[in-house]
Amino acid sequence: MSHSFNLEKYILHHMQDSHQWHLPFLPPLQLPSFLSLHGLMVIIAVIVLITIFCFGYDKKVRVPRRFTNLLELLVIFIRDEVAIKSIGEQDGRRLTPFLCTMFFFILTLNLMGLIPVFSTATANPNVTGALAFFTLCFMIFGTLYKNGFKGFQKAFIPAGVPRGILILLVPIEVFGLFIKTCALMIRLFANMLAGHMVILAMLGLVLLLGVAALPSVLLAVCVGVLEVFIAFLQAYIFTLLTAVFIGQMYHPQH
Amino acid sequence: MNTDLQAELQAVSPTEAESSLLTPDIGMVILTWVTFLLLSVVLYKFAWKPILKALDAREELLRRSVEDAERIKQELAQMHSARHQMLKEAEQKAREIMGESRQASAQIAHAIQHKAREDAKILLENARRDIGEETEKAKMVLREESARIAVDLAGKLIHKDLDTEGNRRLVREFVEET
Repeated sequence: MSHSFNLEKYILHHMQDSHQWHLPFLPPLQLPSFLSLHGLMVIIAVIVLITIFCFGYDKKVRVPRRFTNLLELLVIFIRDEVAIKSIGEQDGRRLTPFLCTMFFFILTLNLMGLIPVFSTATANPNVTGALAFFTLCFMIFGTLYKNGFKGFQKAFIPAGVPRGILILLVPIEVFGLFIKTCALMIRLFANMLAGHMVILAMLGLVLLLGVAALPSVLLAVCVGVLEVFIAFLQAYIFTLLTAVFIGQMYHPQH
Repeated sequence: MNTDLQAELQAVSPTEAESSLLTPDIGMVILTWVTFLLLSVVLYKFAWKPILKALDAREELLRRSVEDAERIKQELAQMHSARHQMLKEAEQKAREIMGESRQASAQIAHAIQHKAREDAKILLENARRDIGEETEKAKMVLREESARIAVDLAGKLIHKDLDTEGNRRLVREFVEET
């Protein structure tokens, strides 16, 4: 019983943010009080992304190859399938850089969580909430900037609805704005957290049951592979929903 | 598992740990905002702008290349058909020229034949006329000769020496009578 108690604590300890970075074959690295482990992961992700896109991506070559091709595929996908389809040709192209940054940022953080040395910053609601806040900002201020206050109002007051229903409808619409943002935040956070918990629980079975639980390691590997897929999927979903929500606000009549 | 970690684990109860998963951490939020904004600015300037520009340029190039290829293909097809047409026309012309020359040669041959026939006819007629004239002449000579012989014979027979001039007149009268 005491073992199971320890395992539960171990998993939770592993998942939560801390000020210690556990490196292999080294004593835990104590982080300063202003920088938590997830904060460090976010900074590392930024450095990785800047390195990849400023130095790894060959912009001069006319026919992209290998890694550049892969990155370009994703950029084109974000531009054509996410931005332009959800927001429209002109605004979609304008918002593509933002959506690309968001996609690659989340993807990098998700994938880093799968590498044993690193930790999953996207399993922290503060990080996902901060990212969802940008979506909210675009939904509110982007629409105000693009359509003006009247256009912004239109998103909450659909045309042809009787006045009496509006009393009910407008608060729901306004509330929906924040619910969408919260849903974005929780979806990413919960998915990343749950995936890691499942892997850790399966590996933890070995600690509890010993050699008899070895097949669960294979299962954990399978879930790990699934996690790679989920890392891409969740980054895509977050970006897609951001684009869809912004598109809904930009073009309220649709 | 090292002892430090174990001690730490003992210190934190699961409920505490669970709640710490959801504790709002404004420092973390601000750090995320700052890093994300920084990343946005840097990537926009050094990555997205050139990448998206290059993509647009490549798409434009590709579109134009495809259009060019299409146009060249059409031109080629046009040239092919024009060449075909020209060949056909040349063949037609050659055939016409050959036909014309054949016709002309036939005409010339016909004309030559006709002329030859005409010439031959004229020659034949001339010859016929000459023969006729000659025959007439010979007949005249023969008649005169035979008259003279007859006169001689008659003179001899009647032994009468007749005046030659008067004879001749007589003979001519005879001849004309006959």
